[in-house]
Amino acid sequence: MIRIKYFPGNSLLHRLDPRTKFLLVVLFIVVEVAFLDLRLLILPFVASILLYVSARIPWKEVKGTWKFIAAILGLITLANMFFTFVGSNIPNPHIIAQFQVAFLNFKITAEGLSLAAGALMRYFSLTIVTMCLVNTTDPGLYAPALAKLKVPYKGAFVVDLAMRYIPLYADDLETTMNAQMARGYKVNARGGWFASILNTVPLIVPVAINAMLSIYDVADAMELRAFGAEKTRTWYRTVSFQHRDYVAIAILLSMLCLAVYLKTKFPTYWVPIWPKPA
Amino acid sequence: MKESFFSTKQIVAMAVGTALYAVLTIPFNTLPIFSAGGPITVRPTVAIPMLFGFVFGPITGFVSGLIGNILSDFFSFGAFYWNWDIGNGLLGAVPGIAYFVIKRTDWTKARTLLIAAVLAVVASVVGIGFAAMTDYIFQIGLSTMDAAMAEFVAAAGTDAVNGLILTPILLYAYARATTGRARRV
Repeated sequence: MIRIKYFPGNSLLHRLDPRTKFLLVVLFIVVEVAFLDLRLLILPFVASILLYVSARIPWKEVKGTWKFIAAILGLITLANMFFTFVGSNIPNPHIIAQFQVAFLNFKITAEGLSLAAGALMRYFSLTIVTMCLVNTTDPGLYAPALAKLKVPYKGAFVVDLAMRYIPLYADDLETTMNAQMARGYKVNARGGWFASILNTVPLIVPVAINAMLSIYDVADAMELRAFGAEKTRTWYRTVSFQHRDYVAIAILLSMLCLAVYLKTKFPTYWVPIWPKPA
Repeated sequence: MKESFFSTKQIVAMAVGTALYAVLTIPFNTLPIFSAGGPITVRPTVAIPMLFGFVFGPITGFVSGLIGNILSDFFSFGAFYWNWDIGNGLLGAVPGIAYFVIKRTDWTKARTLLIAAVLAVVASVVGIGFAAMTDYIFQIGLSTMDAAMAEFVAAAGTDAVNGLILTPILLYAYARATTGRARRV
């Protein structure tokens, strides 16, 4: 099952201020959006893997999650490669293979493969970096970090509470699925799209309604502790930049400069030279 | 009189809606829409922000859809598309109209459930229409109007059908579950 939660540890990523890790994610988004060249996309891809490995997250705990994510990414990349317009605006594509299924004509082109590989690396890099943030950041530190970034405290609380609830609801979903399967529920329903939608009801309804019924209890508990009584508030736990954060931010900004330089040198897509069929 | 959109209850509802939408959506991100141009998937869970909009108002619905979509996309494929996040926010905001006009004691009535279904369809057209058109206007992966229209029809169609069926079911289930409970409606 999917494990999107904090794993306590003492790695450098664990010890970094959450704001530094927010910057890391934002920087990766910027770089991944800017880079189009497949060769350049390898750099953030490798960097993200090294970062994740350095966090020493127990592989046994997250193996299932990564298998699931790999399946999603593989499926979406394949679907987009075959069924969409990816690479269709490149003139004179190098066709590697083409085949017909029913009335649909599918073409595999070198350009399409190159773009698909780039997209796959882009998705993986960003997912890995996001997991670096979530797996190494104590949920109790999101709100103080966001408050330090001048996010209004009620907004910070929404994110803080949501990040606390995500692993709980993931567990609820797993428990509900097991309970329903014990009653004969089948995940893959037969009978078409309509049946598939109705098949989600035994999972979505119990988890959602149970969660919604707790809203008033949590709100009451917060109000009893005077939440919302003042326009500002302080936090029991706080975050502050250490030397390592300044060093990390300096490294991140230098990498951003390098990325800008590389973008000017390799501004567009790159397609591997493909031998023409004899 | 309606309470503040940023009361403690609304803040918790935003967090719960966000977490629910993110968690329940991730398993359904394995169902891609083939005619769309990016990582766009069939999501029965669009009913979650729609329900939160209907029950807790447009702001809570919008935040649940917006942040829930950001988180589920990040955890599924690390993607960040601001216009699709806003589009998902609109999926929750539009049914919020009902928050102002429908009494909570009427939630189990057939007319209310029909309104929930209609609002789900309108929300899908507005939300996905915004996302698909901004994809075209800002050239986010789509270069032609035809591609944007194909994306709109596929994504809005699936979201509308999912919302049409599931939002009334969830609303009815919530209304029944809260019957007889103090301060639950």
